[in-house]
Amino acid sequence: MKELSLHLLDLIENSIEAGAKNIFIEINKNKEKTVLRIVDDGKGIPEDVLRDITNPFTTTRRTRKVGLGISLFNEVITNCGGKLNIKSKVGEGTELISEFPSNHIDLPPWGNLADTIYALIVTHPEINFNFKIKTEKGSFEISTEDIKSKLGGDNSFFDPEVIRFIKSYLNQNLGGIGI
Amino acid sequence: MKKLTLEELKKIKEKAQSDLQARSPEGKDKIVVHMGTCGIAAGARETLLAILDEIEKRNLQNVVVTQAGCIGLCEYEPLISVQKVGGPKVLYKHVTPEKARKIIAQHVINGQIVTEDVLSTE
Repeated sequence: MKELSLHLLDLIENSIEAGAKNIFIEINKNKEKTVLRIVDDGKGIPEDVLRDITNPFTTTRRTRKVGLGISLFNEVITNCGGKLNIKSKVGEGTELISEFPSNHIDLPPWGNLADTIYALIVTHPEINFNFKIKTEKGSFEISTEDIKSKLGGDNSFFDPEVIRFIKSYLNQNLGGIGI
Repeated sequence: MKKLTLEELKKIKEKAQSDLQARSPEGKDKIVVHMGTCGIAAGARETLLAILDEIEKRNLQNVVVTQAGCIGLCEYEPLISVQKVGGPKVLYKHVTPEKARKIIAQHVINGQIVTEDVLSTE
């Protein structure tokens, strides 16, 4: 994958597959290092799977025998001198924390983070996402609970006007903080 | 330019309230974009964005887009399925953003399945 924002999309898809209803995503980036944290309340990862989680031949899926998402991300991050840590409890949820140098030569660019957030929010109205992004240029926060409450608690907010709004909102507010 | 705030969403809601009530997801055409690792690596996010863009530009009120995971057909990714109300569920393979725009115009709007890109129909 060419962009960190695609890895992020992929990691969050794991939380969705795990049945999470609330997903909290935090990105904290300064000149030296970036910390990414994803916390979900999905079904959690059993201990034996967790021990071997960065192995590409570890997967819970039944459609094929490889699970590439976490192993790909781990590969990219460790090549840059970063680290990945996953804590999980069956029945409670999973917390993923990754720390890596912000400007390592082998680190893919963040790419279009606004597109990743937009893609997740508008196609998963049933999930509460909370994104908190902080860089040296500023910070940005969006929660789908806010969007839902502004829409009067409407759970099916898929509508051309609403998605147009969310897209512009993300591009305008996220564009300035430089990630 | 003044930045958008979430408060402005309220206005959209008020404007659209009457027709929001009239619509329910059951009576809508459904597009599913597969977003497993394989799909994302093959460009599924860009495909999804093209679909959303067409819906927004053409103001398609009767379509709902959701996501699903990998279905084990990784070599055909990006995969999307289109099901029009009362119609078959059509699975499309190798859906680039350009193909996605064509599928919206030809299948979703005009009801003509784009046969050359179909992987299966159920």
